[in-house]
Amino acid sequence: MKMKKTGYYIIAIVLSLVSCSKDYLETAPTNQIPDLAIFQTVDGAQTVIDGVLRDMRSHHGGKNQHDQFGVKTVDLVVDLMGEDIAVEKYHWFGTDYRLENRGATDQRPLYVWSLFYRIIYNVNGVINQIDGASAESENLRKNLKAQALTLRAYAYFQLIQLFQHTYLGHENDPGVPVYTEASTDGNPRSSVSEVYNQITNDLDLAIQLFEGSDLPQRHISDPTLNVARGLWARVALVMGQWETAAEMASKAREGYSVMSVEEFSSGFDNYLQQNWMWGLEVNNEQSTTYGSWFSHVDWTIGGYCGYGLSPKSFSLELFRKMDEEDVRKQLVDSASIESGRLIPYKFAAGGDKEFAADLVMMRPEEMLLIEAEAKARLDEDVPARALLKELRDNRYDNPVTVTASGEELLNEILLERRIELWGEGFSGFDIKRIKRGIDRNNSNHNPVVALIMELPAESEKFVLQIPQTEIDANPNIGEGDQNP
Amino acid sequence: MKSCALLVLSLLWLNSGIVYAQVHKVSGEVTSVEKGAPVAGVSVVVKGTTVGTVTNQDGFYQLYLPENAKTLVFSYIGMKTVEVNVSGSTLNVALEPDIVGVDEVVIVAYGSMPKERFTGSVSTVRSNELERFQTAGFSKALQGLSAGVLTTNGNGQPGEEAEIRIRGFNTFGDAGPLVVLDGFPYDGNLSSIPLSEIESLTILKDASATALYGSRAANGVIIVTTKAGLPGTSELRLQLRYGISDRAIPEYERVSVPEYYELQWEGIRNALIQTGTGMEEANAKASEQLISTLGGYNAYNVPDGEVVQSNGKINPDAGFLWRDKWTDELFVQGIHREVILSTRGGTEKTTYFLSGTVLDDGGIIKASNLKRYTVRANVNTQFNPWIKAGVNFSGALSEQNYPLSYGTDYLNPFYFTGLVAPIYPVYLYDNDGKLQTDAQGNRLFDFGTDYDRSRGLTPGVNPLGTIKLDKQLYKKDVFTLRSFIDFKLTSELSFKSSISADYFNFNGLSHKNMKYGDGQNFSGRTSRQTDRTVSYTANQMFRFQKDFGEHIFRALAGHENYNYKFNVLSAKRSGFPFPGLFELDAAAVGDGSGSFEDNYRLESYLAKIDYAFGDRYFANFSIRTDGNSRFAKEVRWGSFWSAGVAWMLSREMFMKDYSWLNTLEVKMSYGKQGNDKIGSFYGYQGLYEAGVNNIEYPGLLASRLATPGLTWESLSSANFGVGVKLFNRLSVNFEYYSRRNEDLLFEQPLPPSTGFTSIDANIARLSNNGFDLEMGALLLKTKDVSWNLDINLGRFRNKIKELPQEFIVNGNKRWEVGRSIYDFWIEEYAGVNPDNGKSQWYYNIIQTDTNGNEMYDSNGDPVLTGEKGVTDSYSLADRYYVGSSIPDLFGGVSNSIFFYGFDLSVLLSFGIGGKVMDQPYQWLLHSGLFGTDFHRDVLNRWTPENTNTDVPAVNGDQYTNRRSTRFLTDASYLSVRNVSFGYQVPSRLVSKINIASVGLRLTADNLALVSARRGLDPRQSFTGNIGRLYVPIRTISVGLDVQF
Repeated sequence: MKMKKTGYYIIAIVLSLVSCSKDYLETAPTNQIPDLAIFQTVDGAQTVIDGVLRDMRSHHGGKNQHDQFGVKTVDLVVDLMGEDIAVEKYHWFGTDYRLENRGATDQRPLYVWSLFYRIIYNVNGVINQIDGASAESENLRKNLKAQALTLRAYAYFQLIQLFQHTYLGHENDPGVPVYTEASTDGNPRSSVSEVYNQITNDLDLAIQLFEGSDLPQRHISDPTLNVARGLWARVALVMGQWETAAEMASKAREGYSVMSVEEFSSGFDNYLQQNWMWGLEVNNEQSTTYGSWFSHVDWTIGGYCGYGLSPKSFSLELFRKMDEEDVRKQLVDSASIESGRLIPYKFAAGGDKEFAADLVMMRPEEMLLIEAEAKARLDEDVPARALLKELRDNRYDNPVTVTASGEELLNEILLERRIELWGEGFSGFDIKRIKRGIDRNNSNHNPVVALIMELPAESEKFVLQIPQTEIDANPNIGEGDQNP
Repeated sequence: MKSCALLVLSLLWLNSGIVYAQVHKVSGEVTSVEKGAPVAGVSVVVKGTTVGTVTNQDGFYQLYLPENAKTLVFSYIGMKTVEVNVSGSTLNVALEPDIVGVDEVVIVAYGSMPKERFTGSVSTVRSNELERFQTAGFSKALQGLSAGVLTTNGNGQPGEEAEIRIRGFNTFGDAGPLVVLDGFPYDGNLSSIPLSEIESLTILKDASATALYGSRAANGVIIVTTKAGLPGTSELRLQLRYGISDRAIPEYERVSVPEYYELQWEGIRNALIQTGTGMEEANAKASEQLISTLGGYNAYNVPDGEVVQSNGKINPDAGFLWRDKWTDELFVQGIHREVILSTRGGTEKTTYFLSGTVLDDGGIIKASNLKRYTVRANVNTQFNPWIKAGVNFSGALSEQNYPLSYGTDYLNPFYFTGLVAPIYPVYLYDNDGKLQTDAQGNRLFDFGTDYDRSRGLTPGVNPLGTIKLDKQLYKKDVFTLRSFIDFKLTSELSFKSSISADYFNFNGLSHKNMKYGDGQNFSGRTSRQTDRTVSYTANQMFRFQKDFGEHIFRALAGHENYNYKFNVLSAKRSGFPFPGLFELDAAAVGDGSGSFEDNYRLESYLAKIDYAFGDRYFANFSIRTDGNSRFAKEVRWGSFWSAGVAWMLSREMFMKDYSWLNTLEVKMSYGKQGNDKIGSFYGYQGLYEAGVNNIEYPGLLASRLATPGLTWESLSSANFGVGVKLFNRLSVNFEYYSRRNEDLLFEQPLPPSTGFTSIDANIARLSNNGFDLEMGALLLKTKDVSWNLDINLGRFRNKIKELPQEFIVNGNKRWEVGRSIYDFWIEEYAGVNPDNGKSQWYYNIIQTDTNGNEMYDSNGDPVLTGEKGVTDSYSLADRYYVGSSIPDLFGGVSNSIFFYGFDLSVLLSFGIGGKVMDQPYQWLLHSGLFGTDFHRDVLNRWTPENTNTDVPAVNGDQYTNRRSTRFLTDASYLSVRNVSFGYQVPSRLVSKINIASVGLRLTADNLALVSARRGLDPRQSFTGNIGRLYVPIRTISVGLDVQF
């Protein structure tokens, strides 16, 4: 019996050793942070803005989904839907080039839709909660809120340009749903003019806050007062508000000079070498490598373009229109012109930044061109000519004289936009804005790869359809609300 | 490593040497009267002593007798114990089933019990059924072995697992069962448990069986029980196996080189005609452009423009410059080697099982293999009449060379060879066809970019060239501990305290070489990841047993806590100085690193009561209450329970006259279990993901919406079973089940414009109703020949009962109430338009109003006429329900034949019905993708001369092979899973050299497959989506089994 007693003692000891403490079932993740903790301070808001800026250049989709790498994906897609890039082989982006990646169940609409609405959700958190966060510097609070507003305006602007025709003539057409705060219920499509109202209101407020905060740009990726004005200029150009466009563009590039020939020829891969207003810096660790802008367009690094899986040529038609003295033409290798291959070396990260190449988002030359175009449209040919000359003097071997006027001058400026901003995501949107169709004939577009050789102005093929998952899950958007 | 394992093996050898030193000797065979088959594991003991042994796999035993030995006692669970007097040196015994007393014992949750008193549903797979397989782990052996258990093939790479589903698909998420090793949930990888160490697998299927595992039991439970020693026996066993492995599934039927050129010529010609070129000009242009369009690859010794003539035929004068075959070069014969040394036995007080194994399992692609070293020690001891203790300890070290072999990555050899056109060479040839070599004379690889060529399919990639230089190395170390101490407090009450611990370390290295492929841009790149999983379970159980006359009570009550910790550390670097280096230290540039930890805990209280009235009426009740750290405090605790009854009809007085009826038992159970695998350890918190950094600035991004009410999924299940044994020869067990899964965790789709595509919610419901049928028959029994046939069948109907939306499209499936979770919803192929060779699909015709405008209802949905139209525009095609990937019936057939010392077993598995989406076939049925091969079916394409066909014209149209019912294929199959042929050397021959028995065995896994299309393996996935995956391997080996 003695032994038995000992047994009970052992049981008691064992039980006391294993009984659980009160918080035994409380666990928390180590690589995620509870939402309530974030907006306690403005520093938390800053990390969310940095998260958004990173997400704008992150790799999305599965490991092998190499055509989803953030906002530069959109820049590539819209240019491929135009005339200025000739694709040699059907590969990644092949269906975008054929203007066939636009249906409700195709992957492109869902990708860009989710991309921009994810930005909107996150910056909405900042915009709505930063006022309640503790801040050591009110200036920082204003600055961060202004950054968030600028990013929201940027996201809505990209969305509305992708999912509807241009503004003028379509003001009352259905646009995209607008959210200014977190919600799990789907909103209906706002009209195009309502979306543009939201964008311009955000930009107005952002500019006001930036002006009141007076902080220098912390990093090239931060939206600034200049960026907000630059975005306003872009928006105004689409809305046909020429005075605003000219004024905003002019103010936006204050403090930035037009880049020189040397700078222009340095590869567009390093913000330190070029005079950008806004750009996304990339480093080795954060590079998306094969699924990246440079992988798809740069002939000098071993990506999809450089390895020959999906070479992207400069347009022969545009090449022919360029002046021999134009350094931008000299940056195009025409040795294989017979076979239709024109190798652009504008984007060249080889031997330099490689896959860790920075991404340009906004630069003063675009602002100059917006101002020039707005002036020309306002029939102020003199300043328009001067602006065009300012740019060309920095691009041609010798100084130029610009003599055109009226319609001819406007067309020269529009052509100049195609040349200067080639591959930066403007030509596709310009086709929609200016309401011209596309004609890929008499160029180096291969019909077998391109399939679509011409389209009329305002073809429905330029407009992406609302993703089917949105229609299925949103009680306020039905099949009947779909784009044609 | 190897020497270490060998040391352990040799220690085991030495250890065994001291066991026997006796004189007189007896041997013989033990068979079953009922089944006629040899019985393994029968205890053979000299009466009145502790001298004894157990019978081997073939029922043989050999025993050295003390001089005064007179009688041998043969005993086996579920059989009548027999005592036989020793006379002569051979003693064969046939055991009768013990149908009066306690029958077979089954392993159940937290213990074991007599099978007849168990009211739940279990299937048992015994060691002799498992050990014939040559796979590293049991998951790849289960197919066709147990009714109601559905498995995939898994990745064919040695050491990878198959997926298992028990009684349907019980959740939209991870529906895999809980695996329990020797009584405790197991957190290692399954392939670290050698089949030779497993005594049995017990598959718990219904509420009565699984309820004690509470919030983790809804997907069923598999209990792995490892071997133990038997009192009074000793056995030393050496098994050797040597075999070769090949791919078990052949390649799809593909076109030849000349056919390929001709088809592509036709594609280019037709594309030119479509864009307005005249026929003659198009013919000439196609001949001219053919080679350059295919990337400059001319496999013939004629000029580029003359390979295919303008009549579309290959130039009759053309001879080959190269004839490399990718499949011949990439796939090799694997070598399978295995050594198993084990000893088991014991005294009355202490029993042991010790085992050491070495496995070297070569894969069928170059640089693919598994090496595994394991040891196990299971020891139990009765310290004194009221204290028992035991320890099971195991260690397993594995190393896998695991080249990328799944998904749509061109480095996956199965994907690459599944697409590459036959015109492209493996090795580098110049334009004159001269093979290029390096300075040492080694052949150079064609990466598709030399000599101004650009291979149509993925230039810059050569999986063979890359596989040799890349490294994908996985190390998996598993250590397990199971220990207990048991106090018998009174004759009715005992207390048992147990602690189990699992340690699983995964150490992965992935190196992309600096010369070719993805790593070239980075001068080589290496990623490393280490995952450390440590879990432990501690429980304290009281057991009570008391009989009041015919009322028999057994009860159990206790407390348990489970603690799981998971750590990950990963790092990536690039920039190696020269080839051959692959560890991080050698690389110059940091490409990122990270670490995190997850914790998951359970605290539980559980109780069980088993009641029996005499030997006819039985009842079991179980309850478990779990507190689970995955859920918010307010909803964290839940209770799970079951109740079951059984009635042994055959023992009722009124059944006495039916002597041909051995047993007849009916049983029923009902209960509720949970599934807490909701994909997150922090299921309730709204979260922002850390590490979304912007250069040096830390970034956060919203990753999860808060769901404070989220809780486990629950299962209510009913089971009804009948078990019959007739004429001592035939047994049938039929069970019908009805399972209702509620509160299923669902990613409720949100409009993506809200910033999230879904939010987790417990909103869906499913049901799985079906039956399992197991039949066993002794077809033939003579003195020297016996034949056993076992058949198992399963069928279930999976049905969605509730969804948060009317329907949800999920890839090529659509979920809708009343349909299964695997119902295909895709475009329906309407054949080829005989007039123009275009593919056609069906669409729904929308009603139009009087003005000809399409009509929409108030929800904005179109109003349909109910009729289908035919269109050749893919974007207009509508999607329809066209069948499900779930088979109508599945199961296995097992034949075991014994004759004159030989034995033969054949295991078949099969599935009848169901559909698969045959994507590899789809990819080969394109309409002129430059560089991608064609299936031979394309030879029957539409041409102006061949208009009556299902295969559209070859013209470069990218839509022709888009997803549709054209590629949806019948999933029925029949597989010869395993054939095993053995011979037992007569004991009189080997006993002279002091060996108890010698067996020889020839075994083949995955011997043959019959499916709807050559190359198609319908068992690749439950979803029915077929891709290019490491195919199953066919291993044929010879084995030697020696017992001392």
